[in-house]
Amino acid sequence: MTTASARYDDYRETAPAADAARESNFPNFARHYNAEPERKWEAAVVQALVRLVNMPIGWDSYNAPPLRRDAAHFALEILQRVMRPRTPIPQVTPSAAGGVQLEWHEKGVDLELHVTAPYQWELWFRDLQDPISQPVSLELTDDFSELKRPIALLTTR
Amino acid sequence: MSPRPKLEPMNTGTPHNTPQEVHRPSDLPDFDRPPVNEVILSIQFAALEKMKSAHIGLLWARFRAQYPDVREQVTINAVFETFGTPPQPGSIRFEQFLSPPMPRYWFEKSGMPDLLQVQQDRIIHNWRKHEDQSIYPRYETLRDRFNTEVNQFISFLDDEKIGELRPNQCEVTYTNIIELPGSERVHDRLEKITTLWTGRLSEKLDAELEDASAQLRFKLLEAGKPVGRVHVSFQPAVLQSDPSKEVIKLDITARGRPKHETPESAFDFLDLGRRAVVKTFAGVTTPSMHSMWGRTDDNG
Amino acid sequence: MPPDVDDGSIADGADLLRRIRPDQIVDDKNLGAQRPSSAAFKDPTMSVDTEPILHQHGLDWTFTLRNHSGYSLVRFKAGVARAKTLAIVHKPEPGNPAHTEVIGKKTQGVANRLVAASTWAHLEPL
Repeated sequence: MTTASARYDDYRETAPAADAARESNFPNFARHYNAEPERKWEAAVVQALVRLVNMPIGWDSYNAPPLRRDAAHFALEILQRVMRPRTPIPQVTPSAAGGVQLEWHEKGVDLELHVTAPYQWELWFRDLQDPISQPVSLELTDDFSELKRPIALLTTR
Repeated sequence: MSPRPKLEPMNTGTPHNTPQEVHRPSDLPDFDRPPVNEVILSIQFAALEKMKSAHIGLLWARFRAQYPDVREQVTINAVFETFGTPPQPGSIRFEQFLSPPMPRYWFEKSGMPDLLQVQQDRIIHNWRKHEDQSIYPRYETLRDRFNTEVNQFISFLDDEKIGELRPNQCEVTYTNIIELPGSERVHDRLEKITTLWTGRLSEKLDAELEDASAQLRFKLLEAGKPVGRVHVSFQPAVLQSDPSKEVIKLDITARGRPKHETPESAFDFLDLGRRAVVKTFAGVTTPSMHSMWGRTDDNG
Repeated sequence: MPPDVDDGSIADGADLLRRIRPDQIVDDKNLGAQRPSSAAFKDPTMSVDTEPILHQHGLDWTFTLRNHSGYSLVRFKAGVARAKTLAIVHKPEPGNPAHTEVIGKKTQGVANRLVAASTWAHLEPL
């Protein structure tokens, strides 16, 4: 992994990187503890994000700017933190504000994550199967805990 | 448009590689001979998509007197400290599918300890120990140098109409190389180096400890809310000058989001991060090592 | 440049038309229908065409879709936007006398209100 270090070569590390050591020495542990989710969604989402980053200014026939790389990266980061093996793949929608919206409209859940920049995103969530609940509309930054319930509903219903 | 206010320096006109009397918080652990090998001050900001490789010559011209050499490097990926969900690294790196962005550039002077790095979404100042010639100038001096460089960068962005500096993540990293005097082997005496290792196993093993690594994460809290993390890494290493000499590489990084997307707020976080790094360093190492490094404060 | 002031010249009952790209259409399984994504309404200075002004110039909704093959079109009432404290400002452009902007921050709640109030003037087969 590329880092910001620029040290002079006066020493060298002698142990393999932590992840590689864990994988090679403890394969069963790695499989169960890491338990990496099925990642089919990741390829589909990355493909969609790449397409949106490469769109020209005015892609929506009005003046919308394309998706910024760092916003796309952050959107992917959100999903990498919350997606579970059976969570449905979101639709990846370009936003007229120049961001991206990750959205699900199924199983009685409306969930929208609108990302415009790193740490600048909004959440919209409705549980249509709960007649008394109100829509949740939040502006969020670095805390993803509000996603736990809607993702759990999408995954387990 | 009125000029953007400049950051206030703590000291001014500090020559490189010259120790200065600086003002340091009195409640921080302090050492005469800290085992610091590298210090990195980094500000990540909203990507300046208008900044292209063609601009780098113009930017370098502003730093050329201090940094006459320039090198291209691969960009560093954006990093985000987030909360509320367990860590779960992705398997696909998004950037590999895009056309390469503007590279990262090193501005440096061969053989000198300071380095300035710039890419579309980061500016970084490194201080590196070079053989035995570099005296660690202390955080306050490095902060002033970086402050001056960030101000020059902001002026450049204004003059070339590239955009505004909007920091979204800051990092302070200290890399320490820890060795024991004489022929003592660090992995035989880990309990002498770090408070994390007792050396007392429940069972005598028919095996010899070869080396050990440890990774720790701490949440930085303000008023009970997470504002960042401190990452600690102990890794075995050897000296290039004497590969039989085993050492411990102790990396401590404080990383988090500034309160506001302003340079002033970014430096506030760097100050907070530095405090966390120094206190963590003192916390994960032993009083015996503190003594060896010449601890001078009254808090030890 | 004139200030972005809503002078009320566009009535609450006026229909506003906005183009929707194919990738901004959501297959809403909860509704059992295709509808526009709220992402299509997030622009802080959202461009629309005011339908009564088109009619005054002998034009109709097909004018808004001219030169935009593959796009769909929604209409919603100006009053719905105003109820969410958005400003409706008529800003004619060369070649488009009906160009109007719906100005103001659209939170997810506001954008979804606009979605709920929208009907298809034209839905392009996907």
